[in-house]
Amino acid sequence: MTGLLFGAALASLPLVGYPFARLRVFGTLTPAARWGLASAAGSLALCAAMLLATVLHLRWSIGLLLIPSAAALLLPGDPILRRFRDRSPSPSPGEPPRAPAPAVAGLATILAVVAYAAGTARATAADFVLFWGTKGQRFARARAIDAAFLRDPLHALIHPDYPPLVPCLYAWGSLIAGRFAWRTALLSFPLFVAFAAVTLYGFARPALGRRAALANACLLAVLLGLLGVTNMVAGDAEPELFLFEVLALAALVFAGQSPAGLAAAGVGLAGAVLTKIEGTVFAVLVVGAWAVFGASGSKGRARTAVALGLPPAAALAAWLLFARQNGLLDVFRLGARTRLMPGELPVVLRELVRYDLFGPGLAAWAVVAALLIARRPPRAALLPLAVASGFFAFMIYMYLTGTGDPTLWIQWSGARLSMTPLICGLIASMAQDETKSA
Amino acid sequence: MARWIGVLVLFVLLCAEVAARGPLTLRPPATILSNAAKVQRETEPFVLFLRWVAPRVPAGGTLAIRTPNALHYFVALGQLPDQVVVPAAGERGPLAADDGEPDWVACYFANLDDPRYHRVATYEPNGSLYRRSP
Repeated sequence: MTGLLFGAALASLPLVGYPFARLRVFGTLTPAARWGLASAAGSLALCAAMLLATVLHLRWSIGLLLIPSAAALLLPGDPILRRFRDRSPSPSPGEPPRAPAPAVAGLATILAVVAYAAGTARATAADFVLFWGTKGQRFARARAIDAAFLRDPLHALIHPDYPPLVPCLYAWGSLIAGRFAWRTALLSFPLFVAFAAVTLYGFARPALGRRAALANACLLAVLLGLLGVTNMVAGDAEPELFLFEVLALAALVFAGQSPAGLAAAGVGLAGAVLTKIEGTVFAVLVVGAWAVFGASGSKGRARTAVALGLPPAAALAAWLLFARQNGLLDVFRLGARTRLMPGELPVVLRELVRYDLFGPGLAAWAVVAALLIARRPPRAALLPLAVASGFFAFMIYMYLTGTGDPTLWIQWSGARLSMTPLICGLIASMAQDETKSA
Repeated sequence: MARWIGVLVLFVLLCAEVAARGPLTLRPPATILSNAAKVQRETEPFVLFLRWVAPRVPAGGTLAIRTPNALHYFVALGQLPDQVVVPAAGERGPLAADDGEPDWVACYFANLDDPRYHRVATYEPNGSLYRRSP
């Protein structure tokens, strides 16, 4: 029963976030895009409420944490479920009125295989056992972000200032279920892959059509599923990061000209920042790339880039302020970084190629590269490609400034980190010359 | 069409990876590490040991974990949420002064020779549980 309730709590994230996704600003998005946005907004809203409640010394309760969602219901928006049927315009007259059933069955099969892999402990992340799960459990018991636990010098290894979103979601599940459910938490992997696939479908559908959008959603799901199993990410924060990254990129590539697309991307970037350290790097790169390569139709690209950067900047500032006030600053202090060691560059490149490009991700790289090469990338593809390039540069910089031999570090994290450039490459391969608003 | 070919290729690889990780059964695995990669699976015996310890130590009791692997302390923190888990240094001999006087000591691939504690249970083949003498 505990597992069932815990799973229901995580699966209910779109319901927690729907009051935000129903707001009028998102009225131009397809229902699927709004449900995808709702799953991200629900996760973000819970994390923000948990952080705020901790700062105000209010013990977490389910009712307290749902106040932001309840308050959002008071704002003007579409009544929930009214737009469940997708009536948004289709790119071609031959479009089927509904998503083709075989393709939907294909997506369901992929997600079922990923769920089987996660549920039978085939993809369990080491860090889930060492700290993600433990942190979530501790937070739920303390009914707060347990600063004393994080600050304890005995626990320095689990990085006290690491972004809190995933432990907060686990704490949410624990509050609903009454206890942390280790097995069920592993299913957050297929769940967030499903959220990411729905999000991509929802944003891509107006530009690509139902068939092509669904094919791309299937491709994203199987790519994340395969790499997630080979890189062992179940229970880790990667699945949540997938969702936020896909939301931000899909919103900008397919709906970047509209306020709805920009606002949805802002939610994705804020979520990425609160999920993993590399989420901050991703957010910086996306905002920078938007300033340079943003939608050609958008006026005042620099102005919209600033607006795009505000949500992630606010999220990061809030977390860093909390960490500083509670003596948690560790990774964000960047103290462990040594000076740049350019001499290690050949080693870093060789090991990245060995463990990443020619590792288990080889087939994924081959598929994404083939799709990119198959046609001349349109202008809209420059944004995700620039983010991918920037992220690779960050990875190389990171391994060149680490302490000690980078080989082991790359072996441990290289393939996992490069899932972000792969997502960027896949979305770049779908970009259209004339993107239509979702 | 190219995308569906990509889906098919990656799906076949996904299924092969899933099949290679362990027996294809609907029975739930023994632990959350049962079919994981080798490095993670090496921690599974310790998780089973903690599962043996859990019902023997009352909730709220202070439990020191003594093992040669420093990471095991973090595993125990998560797997024993009802007890107050603390690490214990060393692999044999008495508890160090820094370790205080926990109510219980769980030894895994380690021993405890401390007159303040007596052994209350043995976990075959490599674990034992000690309780502080009254």
